[in-house]
Amino acid sequence: MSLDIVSKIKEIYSDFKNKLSDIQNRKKSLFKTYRTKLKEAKIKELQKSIKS
Amino acid sequence: MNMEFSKKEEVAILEKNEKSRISTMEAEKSDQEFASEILSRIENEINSESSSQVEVQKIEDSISLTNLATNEEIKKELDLENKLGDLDTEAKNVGEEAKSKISEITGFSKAYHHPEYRKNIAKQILEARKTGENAEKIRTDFYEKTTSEKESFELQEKERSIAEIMKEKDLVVVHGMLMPELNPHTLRGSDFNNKVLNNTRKDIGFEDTYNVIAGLSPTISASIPSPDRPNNGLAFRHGVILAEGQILSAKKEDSGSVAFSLYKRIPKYGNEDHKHSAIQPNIDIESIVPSAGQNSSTWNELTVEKPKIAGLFQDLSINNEYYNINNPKSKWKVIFPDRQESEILEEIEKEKAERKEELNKELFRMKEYSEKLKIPLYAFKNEEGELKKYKVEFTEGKHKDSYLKKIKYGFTDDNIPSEEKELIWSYNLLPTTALEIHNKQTEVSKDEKNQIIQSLKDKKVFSQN
Repeated sequence: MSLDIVSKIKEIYSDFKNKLSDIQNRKKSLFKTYRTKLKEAKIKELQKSIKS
Repeated sequence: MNMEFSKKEEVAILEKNEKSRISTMEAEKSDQEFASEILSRIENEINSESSSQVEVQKIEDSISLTNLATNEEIKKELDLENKLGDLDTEAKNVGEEAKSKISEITGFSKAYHHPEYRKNIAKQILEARKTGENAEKIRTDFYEKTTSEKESFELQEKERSIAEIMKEKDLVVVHGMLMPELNPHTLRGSDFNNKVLNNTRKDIGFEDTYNVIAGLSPTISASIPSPDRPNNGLAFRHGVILAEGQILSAKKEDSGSVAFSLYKRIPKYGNEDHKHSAIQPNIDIESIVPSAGQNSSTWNELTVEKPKIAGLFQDLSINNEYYNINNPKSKWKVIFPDRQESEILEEIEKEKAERKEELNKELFRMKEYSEKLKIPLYAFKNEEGELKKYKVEFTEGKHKDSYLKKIKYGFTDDNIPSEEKELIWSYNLLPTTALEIHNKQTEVSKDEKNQIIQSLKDKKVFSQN
């Protein structure tokens, strides 16, 4: 019966890790998009400063 | 030993891909310790999940724009802050959900264990550790004995549900309650059997008991009335009918259950094979309803957790066999050996009238409680060997006006004789079923519960122990 408890806890922990990992990936994707957009804006800023 | 090996393996597998510190958990750890370790890891992982704002700041520091307004425009365009905020909340919720699931698994039995049992096991484990005996074996035995409780509980979900019993079997589960204002000499349970209520307080009445159940849903003792038991198997002629709740134990006789706390009540008798727990492994409701025989106690006893109230009840039964002079078990000829039969019959009629008067008085008091507490009132009547259930409905009688006049001149309900009240209020008994009683239950709102709890605290109905 003790084994039963351990295996259930293990299952819950794995499920938690999977869900957390999914959230982290979604966050990473948002950060990546933000970084890309900032880079594009930076390039535009630099191009503008060169032209002027 | 295999168990410990396996536990170590489980942990190792869990953490294999993560290369985490968890693999260092020692094999000697108990289930509780294992669970605590995992709980604390979940907590740490949620806390160490760096805040989205910090990450955003890092990105902005690495790509610094001259025009800061552009940052804000991009964030707005991406709806970045809202989306990240939602993900942070989601991560916290996922952690809370996992923690609550683990606590539910490991904490289940603990809530139902006999306090003495837990104390003894802890003592035995400590002793064994000191003397070098096998403490692990004691711990394993403990879990083997208790972890099947949850399974047993879940497998019998329907059998243990009061709502299901009402719907499927047309039975009612009741909790009898004292009405000290009318029956001052009836005794409350002893301090030993109830360590929660302040039993020394004589002014703890019907309404207070109602409030404890409605406001706090404590684990209570209850019974299923039956027409073949003395007094229909009722400890008191009035009380509450339950609408919901889970049955922890169900005994054919009085089990002398002891309330160790509001939510821990354990039978004292009839549980030799499972004294350690509040949960009786297998319950069979139908078998406990009828009387156990002539020498049995008058009522069956159930312990019920998370009870909800469906309504109030009053037993209006008059035991005609008791008032039958020719009944061989009748006491009348023994009490009055020298009297003529006609004289004895007169005595019987007198006592029967007194009994009726007593029941009426109780019924009218229950009417007041029913109106004040805004819950339905039901009556039981033992008729032709069957315990009939009725919804009580009061209507104004012919003499309502004179009654109001009496109130105006200072009469209270108690000093108006019940036969007179009958002229003022008449009542109808409408046949009903357990299912209808269940369906008419009213919910107690959170605000109402808070008010009730405050009133109980103010009145000091709970023991200080």
